[in-house]
Amino acid sequence: MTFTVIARDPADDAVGICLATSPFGVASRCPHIQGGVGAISSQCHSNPRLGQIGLCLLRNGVAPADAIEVLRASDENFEYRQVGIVTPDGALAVHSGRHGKAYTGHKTGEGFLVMGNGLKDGGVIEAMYEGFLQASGESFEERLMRTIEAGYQAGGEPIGQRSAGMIVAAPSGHPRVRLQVDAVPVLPEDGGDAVLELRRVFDIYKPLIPYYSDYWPTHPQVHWTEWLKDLDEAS
Amino acid sequence: MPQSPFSGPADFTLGVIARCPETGALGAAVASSTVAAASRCLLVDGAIGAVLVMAFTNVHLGALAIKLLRDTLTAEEIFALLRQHDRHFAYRQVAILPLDGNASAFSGERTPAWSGARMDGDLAVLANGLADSAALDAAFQAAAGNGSLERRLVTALVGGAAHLRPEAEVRSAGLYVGVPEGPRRTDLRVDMAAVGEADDAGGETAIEQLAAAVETYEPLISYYGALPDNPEIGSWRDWSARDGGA
Repeated sequence: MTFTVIARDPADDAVGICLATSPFGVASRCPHIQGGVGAISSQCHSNPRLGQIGLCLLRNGVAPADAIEVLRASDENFEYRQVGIVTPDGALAVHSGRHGKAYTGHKTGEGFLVMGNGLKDGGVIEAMYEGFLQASGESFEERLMRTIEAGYQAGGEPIGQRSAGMIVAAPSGHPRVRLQVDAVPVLPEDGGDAVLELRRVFDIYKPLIPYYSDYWPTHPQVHWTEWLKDLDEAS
Repeated sequence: MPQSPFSGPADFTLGVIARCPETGALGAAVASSTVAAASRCLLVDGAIGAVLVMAFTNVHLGALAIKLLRDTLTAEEIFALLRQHDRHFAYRQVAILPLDGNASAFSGERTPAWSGARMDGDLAVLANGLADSAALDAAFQAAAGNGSLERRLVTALVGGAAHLRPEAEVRSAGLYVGVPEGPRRTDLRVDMAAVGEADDAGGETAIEQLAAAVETYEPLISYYGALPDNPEIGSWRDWSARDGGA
């Protein structure tokens, strides 16, 4: 009951995850990321331990495809899980267990994968795949956002999304984006959706990404409102 | 303490870092006038320690501090290194809580007044941009209460919120709890509340929305803890209905 894109940004070898799901608090369980190491989403009857073990394997030089096999051997309920892995060099591997709620599936491309379970149908996966490719001219974060929006527009989960998130980490330092919608203020049954809310928050945060990740740490004198004003005047 | 001229009149941040003496869980929570403050301020590794970085936040300090904790440096040694590493350290607030407790905190002289820190044993509270120390003291007292670590952390933010300046805008709030045996137990956030807007969310502050999210999620912590070994356990909705949210 989650749909997800995991990708690598060829511009700077950052890795990122964007995902949405019908239960609350998806970020507490599914995404696991470390800049310079890799991005993993462990979802579908989620076993967060798989994400932790997976990152440990990647950190020690294990390739994604081999990591999936180690995870398989470590978890007797592996056929209930869905796990996707992408590393900063663009290598990837994905597993969709046969006990995932229909529709469960995935599709891989160059340096990215889309996957989901409990979806309306296979069109959600196809829409995300196409969405990622069609947004090739956009920033990495915008691309991730549009991919999840494409999945949402294709039907997402039939019962709607209560939580969503986006995490992006470059090879060094702190993740440059960590946005979460953990309990959408307006529930799907009332017309809201976590994907719509993530877009609202992302649009506010997007111009501030370089400010908070690179500029402010060394320029504490410059308030974010001044940064936005300068950005506006320069455009 | 000289006030920094580089913050706005509605700017503030209130943060808390704590350890559960019964379970050894480590947690941190923060509320702020800025968007997604928790994404930059909270760094918790249940097997290593917890770090809170605030006030003109240098996100790289938190990542460095966690690495140094992992490399078994003491909090005192880490503070000495951070001071050397960051030439703007006087603008920062940092709290460090090692795995075995004993929190320590630093509040730089260039942080927006009123600013300060209070710590005792397994608990530390940091704040800046306040009218006075009342919000910090209220948060500290609330965090020292009983209940789960998630509950204590959010109660601290709620307690502090009652003493913020009237013009303070509580746009974001979040909490993170890590446990020694797993990657994390709880990671809940409200990254951008629609403060002052007559929206469908009712114009609730981020702290109010976070408190509601904790109310919703806390009963599910045991569900998600059991799910990995019991994939046929049923849906979270069934679990909530069966347990009556208890």
